[in-house]
Amino acid sequence: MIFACLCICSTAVFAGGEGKLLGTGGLSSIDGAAGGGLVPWAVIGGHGSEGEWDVSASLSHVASDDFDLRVASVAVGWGDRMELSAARLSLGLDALLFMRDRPEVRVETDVISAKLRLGGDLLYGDWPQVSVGMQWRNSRDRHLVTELGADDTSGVDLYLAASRLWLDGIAGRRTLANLTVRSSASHQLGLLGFSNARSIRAEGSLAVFVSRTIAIGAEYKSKPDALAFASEDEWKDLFIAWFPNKDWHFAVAYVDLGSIGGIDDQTGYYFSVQGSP
Amino acid sequence: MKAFRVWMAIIGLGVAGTSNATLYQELGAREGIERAVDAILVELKTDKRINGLFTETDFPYLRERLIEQFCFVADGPCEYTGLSMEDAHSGMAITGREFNWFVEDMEIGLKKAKIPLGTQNALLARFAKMHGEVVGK
Repeated sequence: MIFACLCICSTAVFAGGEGKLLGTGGLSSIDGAAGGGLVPWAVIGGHGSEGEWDVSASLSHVASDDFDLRVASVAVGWGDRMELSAARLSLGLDALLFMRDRPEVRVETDVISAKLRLGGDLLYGDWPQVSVGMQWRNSRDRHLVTELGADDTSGVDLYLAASRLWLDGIAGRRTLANLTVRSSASHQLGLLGFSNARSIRAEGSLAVFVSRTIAIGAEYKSKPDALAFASEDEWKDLFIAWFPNKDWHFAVAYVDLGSIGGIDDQTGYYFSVQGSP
Repeated sequence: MKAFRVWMAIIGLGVAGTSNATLYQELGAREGIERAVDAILVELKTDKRINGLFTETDFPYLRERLIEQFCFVADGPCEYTGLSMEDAHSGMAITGREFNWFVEDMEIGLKKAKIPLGTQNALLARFAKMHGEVVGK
């Protein structure tokens, strides 16, 4: 499945964009939109500039003490202006005590995302790049999330993101800062369903390119906490991303996901690979 | 939280090494700038993506102006005697991607001229401010 996904991508009809500086399209985030690992940025995914299409596919795996999350996503960027992406998130629930008699239970959510760059520029001019995004999330396990206490089985997130990259930032290195404000009713990205009540949450990222191809950084993602049976915490990560060229990106991270499904202190690792034709 | 503090310390490494030298001195003064400009011109001439922009260029003239401009931009003891960036690129309709490819060629040239990464970035940041005077004119 992994292979099929990347192969389809590499035979796509669109040529990958080459007009942006290396790494300035970000990575594929955990729910498909371009950004860091956890936080969508204002950047449009890929290296396409004016008039160019950019297609990419990515696979990510998060393994915490008691859970594992697998994500497969595809994204299309156009003209460094618009981005559409689709992701499937699959969370293993083995650790939840009442699931012990049903091993290999996974709960899946699809995320369709659109992002529009409103203005500004990541690198040039006086204003940071600002984009608005929408993410429609739909649980594929309606009965399960309802059993878990969710009000709804689908929901829409809206976010506004601002990103800026300084060519000579921290320690004279390229430094990217991002701030995202999100309105969401999702429980754990929608994997545990959706609430009737929305909340507004802040997310942030800081990345430093220690070389032309390697960036290190940290992210913070505040999340709603509205599910009755289990509290939900903010997510944090420390990451290293490698951009060997404009077609392949790799990321590893140490993640702190807090409490998930009533099980506290979920820390672990995140791996992600992204390829463009 | 300890891991975060350690990480921030790693990110901050190198700040301590920041010196008071001007960018001109960090580039290696006149000699370093000449070496860098020569290396960058080699990249520009061989970059098929943008060398079409230089088909009618008088390269010895461009070399002298670039050396002056690098020196001037880096707070060195030089006057830039060439055209303004806006006039120099007027009618060329330089695109955003062509500007970025020029930046990439500068990066490669500066690296080949053995300019340290932080110094490269400081110079590139000053050139990046000219984006609005170059692109789309």
